[in-house]
Amino acid sequence: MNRLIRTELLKQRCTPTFLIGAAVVPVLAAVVTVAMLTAAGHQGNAPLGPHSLMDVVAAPASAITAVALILGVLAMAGEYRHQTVTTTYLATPRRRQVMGAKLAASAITGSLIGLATIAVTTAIAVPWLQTAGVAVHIDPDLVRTAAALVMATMLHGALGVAIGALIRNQTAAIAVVLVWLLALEGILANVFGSATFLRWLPAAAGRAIVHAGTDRPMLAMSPAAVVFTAYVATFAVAGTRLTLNRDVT
Amino acid sequence: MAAIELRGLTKRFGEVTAVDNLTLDLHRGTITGFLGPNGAGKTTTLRMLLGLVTPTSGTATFDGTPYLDLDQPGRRVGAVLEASSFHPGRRAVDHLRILASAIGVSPRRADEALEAVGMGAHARRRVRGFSLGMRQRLGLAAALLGQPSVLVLDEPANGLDPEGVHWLRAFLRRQADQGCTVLVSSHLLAEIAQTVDGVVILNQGRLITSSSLTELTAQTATAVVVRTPDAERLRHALVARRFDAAVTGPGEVVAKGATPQDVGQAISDAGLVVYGMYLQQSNLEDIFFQLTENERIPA
Repeated sequence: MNRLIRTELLKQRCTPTFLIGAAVVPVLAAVVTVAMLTAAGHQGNAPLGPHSLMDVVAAPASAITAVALILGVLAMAGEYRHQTVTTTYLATPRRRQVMGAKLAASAITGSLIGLATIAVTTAIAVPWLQTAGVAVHIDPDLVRTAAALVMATMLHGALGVAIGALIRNQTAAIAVVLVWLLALEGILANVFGSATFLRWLPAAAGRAIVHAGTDRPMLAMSPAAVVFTAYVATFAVAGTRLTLNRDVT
Repeated sequence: MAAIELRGLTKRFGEVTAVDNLTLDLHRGTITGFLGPNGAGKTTTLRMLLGLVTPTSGTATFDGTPYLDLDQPGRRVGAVLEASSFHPGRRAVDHLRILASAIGVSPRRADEALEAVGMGAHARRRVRGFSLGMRQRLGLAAALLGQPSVLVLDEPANGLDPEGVHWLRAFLRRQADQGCTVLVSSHLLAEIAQTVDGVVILNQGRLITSSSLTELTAQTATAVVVRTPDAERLRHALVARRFDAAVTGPGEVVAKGATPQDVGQAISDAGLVVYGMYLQQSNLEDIFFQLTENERIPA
């Protein structure tokens, strides 16, 4: 199984689209971090303070998890788009193992994306805050937020693979993911107001892993992680079952 | 036990029967041409053999074991199914290194396999810039990675220029000489006729014939063509001897099923003038068309 996971990671490293997607991560993290630090104390934003580092670490979460999700979709649906799934299944006919390796590899990539984000945000924010005279401490909240970010990107990477297995058309799969993330749950929130069920939907639960207790009502961090993991597992099982039964023609 | 065995292999897609009760044995160290017009069911058969398509009924095995149950299938069977199954943005050598990793062989095999198919100079080029012929060669390199004892190739000559087809024939012969069992499909017999030991002809999902090339060649019909100013009289003389003779043009008679000796004797006995005579032998391609023509769809 380790060999298959290494193979999937090698595929990702050898795919230009994937590398471009991954290269967006530090840029996004830097842009969001600088924007937040610059805007602090202006136009109603809170001034820089002891909580600023934690806020900065959490800030890119939505954008970065979206990248992890799309890279996961590319890892799976891209196999169908380029018909490389034929050679993949010829090399490893046991499709359950292929799916397991893809889920694991994209989870690993997601984790690395999360860690890279934290590295960039802290590399910018720590000297910035020190220059501004704000004492920087590594407190439990900061560690929890950072861990939550890594967990969120890891789970989103795996979710992307599951969605790519369910929707084989790469363009359609990415469109569905973006519409769901950016529009659908927002529209439902407008229609149903602050109805409780909205907190349990996939995008809301995914967001709550990092952002619990920040703005609008959402699940607490631990339940959010459990709910989102359950979504990932459900989609992964459904995607695997579909993959096992499909003829590759 | 045969290297490849198909037993009652059948695949239906809804109402359409793509492959119908196919039973075959292919023996070690032989090259078998798997022939049939487009849509005959060749690709579906190969995909069932390789575990990509689930048969409706029947079995397909390598040394008695289905592909899905083979231990390290990439080291036992090398397959090329379509020339387009590459990520266009990947370098040729990366494509092979990925497969080498998946089947558990050294990454060095990627370079060796590229050299074996004459693609060593293109190792670091991205696949999107490759011609169809180069993709076919890259596919063959992928099939060779695990140094398999069986090669299954679907239309490997597609997109190859005459030099490429010549190279492919020599390549397949080399593999078979090294003990490899080769099953190679084509819709054009001429592409592989010079290379194969046996042929399997499929049409509309059904087995039309499975025989050695020698047996198939024995079925080829012969005819004697005669140029003579006495065409009608010669035709009469041949028909009287119960040969199937016809005037096919001005001063030309064709006698099917007759030998030159038969025709020469008839000419001599009738006292006719002849300008020329030659033996016309129909080729394997004609046999292929004869065997499959009944169910062909007119273009």
